[in-house]
Amino acid sequence: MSELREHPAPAPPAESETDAALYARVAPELTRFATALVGRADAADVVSTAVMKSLSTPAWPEVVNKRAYLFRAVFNESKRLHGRSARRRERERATDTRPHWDLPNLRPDVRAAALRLSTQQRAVITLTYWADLSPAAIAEHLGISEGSVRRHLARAREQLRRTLHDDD
Amino acid sequence: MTTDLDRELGEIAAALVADAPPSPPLPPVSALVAENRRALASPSRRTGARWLAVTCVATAVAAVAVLPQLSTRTDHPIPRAAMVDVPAAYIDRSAANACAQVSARAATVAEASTVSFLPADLPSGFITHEPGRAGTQHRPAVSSECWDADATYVAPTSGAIVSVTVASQDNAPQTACERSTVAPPVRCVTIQGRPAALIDEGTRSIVSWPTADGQLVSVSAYGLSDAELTATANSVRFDGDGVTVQAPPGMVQVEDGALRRSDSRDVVYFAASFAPTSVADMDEPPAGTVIHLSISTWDDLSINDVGPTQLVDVNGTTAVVVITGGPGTGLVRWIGGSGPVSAGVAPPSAYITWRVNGVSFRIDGPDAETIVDVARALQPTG
Repeated sequence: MSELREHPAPAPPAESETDAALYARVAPELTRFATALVGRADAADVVSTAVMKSLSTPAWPEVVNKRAYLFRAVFNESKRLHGRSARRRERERATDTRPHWDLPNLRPDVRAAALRLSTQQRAVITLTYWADLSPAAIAEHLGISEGSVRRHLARAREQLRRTLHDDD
Repeated sequence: MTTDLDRELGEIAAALVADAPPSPPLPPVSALVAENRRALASPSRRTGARWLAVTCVATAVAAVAVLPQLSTRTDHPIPRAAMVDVPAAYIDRSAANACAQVSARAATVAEASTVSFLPADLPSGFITHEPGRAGTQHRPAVSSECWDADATYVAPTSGAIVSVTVASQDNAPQTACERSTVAPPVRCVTIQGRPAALIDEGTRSIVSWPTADGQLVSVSAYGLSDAELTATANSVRFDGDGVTVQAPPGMVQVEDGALRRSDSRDVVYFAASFAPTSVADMDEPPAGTVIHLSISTWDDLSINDVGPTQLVDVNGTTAVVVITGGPGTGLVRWIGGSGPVSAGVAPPSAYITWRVNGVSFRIDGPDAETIVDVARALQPTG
């Protein structure tokens, strides 16, 4: 399992860290996280938008955990991408089967299960298994309750378990 | 099994992040953002920033006046300056689409015949970009509730529209507005005793709130005053079978409000697109240039974004035409990807939707005239 957790959360920033330095430190993580949520094509835009919105918020200087704040911003921006317009648009163009993720390293059955994950499930799985965060930390990063984190994770596990059993 | 699941989930997580693009650079306008933040903190300069916002929005609102018959909104508040700290309700609208493990296959000939329509003639300068193709989604029954109910009212003479959606969701009920980093100017309001978020998009507003049992209600309006929007939102009722709403006087109902489940059914689609000759060979033509045709057996009107609205006749059926952007509409898109979050003019776009015998039609395109022409030219091909 340890090889899957090669991206532990970095140490908290120094108090005097500038926005530019903070961004330089967390941008790769944010971009990978966004990729897991919206795919490669939209990841950079999502990160740019989320970061700029965060930096332009007057409350930004008072934010204690800026890293978590930025993850939440990326999460919210990703959901917004899938939101009001996108939801209907996706429905209208359901015959457009171009995948957002290729996931060539996964077995076909696991890949199929991964592609069925919701945005929330992808976020929770990514932060659990890639960033090695606890449910409490994930809850802070995503701005949802710890119970919701556990629920999304349980549903993803159940979905995957069912897929694997179906193939047995 | 737990170990296997963890291993598989770990591999999924690694695979999901593996294809990440290079991190985008911090936009060089960061200094400007900081400057704007300071400006908002300074009373004298805050006035200046607001004047800037007022000027931008006033220009957009004034432009609405030149749109004949399609805008009556005169008392909509000017959206807040983009840098204002905004309270927002935590809103999740993706769950309704994620609750069924949908599979897709090619439509059978019989299925395809119900939804296969193409225009006999294309607008001048347009050619086929993506040929028509039909598919079928199998949406199995799921234990979690997957449904929505919509009701839409239109004022044909003024172009006003209000559309209400109640969707099954999985939100934790809120007791207060949560702060969000989502930037569009959002005001915290109270609707039916619940904390709600009201988003201004120029002449369009959307107010939404999670209900006590975690469902999401969203009311989108164009051409309504704030008071009318609030009154309409407060009148929304959902009895488990459908949604009812008291729309402002003079508005006619065009969507019935009945609950529709999105699971336990097969949905047949037909999609095609048409593009100007100059861009038709591009994989992804520029936004706003392409005409998208979508026909399905969802059996509803496909109304999402609102804007100046007309009712038109399409071969004997009343269709709803909604303009969703363009100069003169007063519709705003909040832009923040490459600079400070600011109000921009929503790009020219429109859609038309109607329903006939259980089949839903929708055409998206650059302007109302073009898509109406395409709609009236549709002929069955199946």
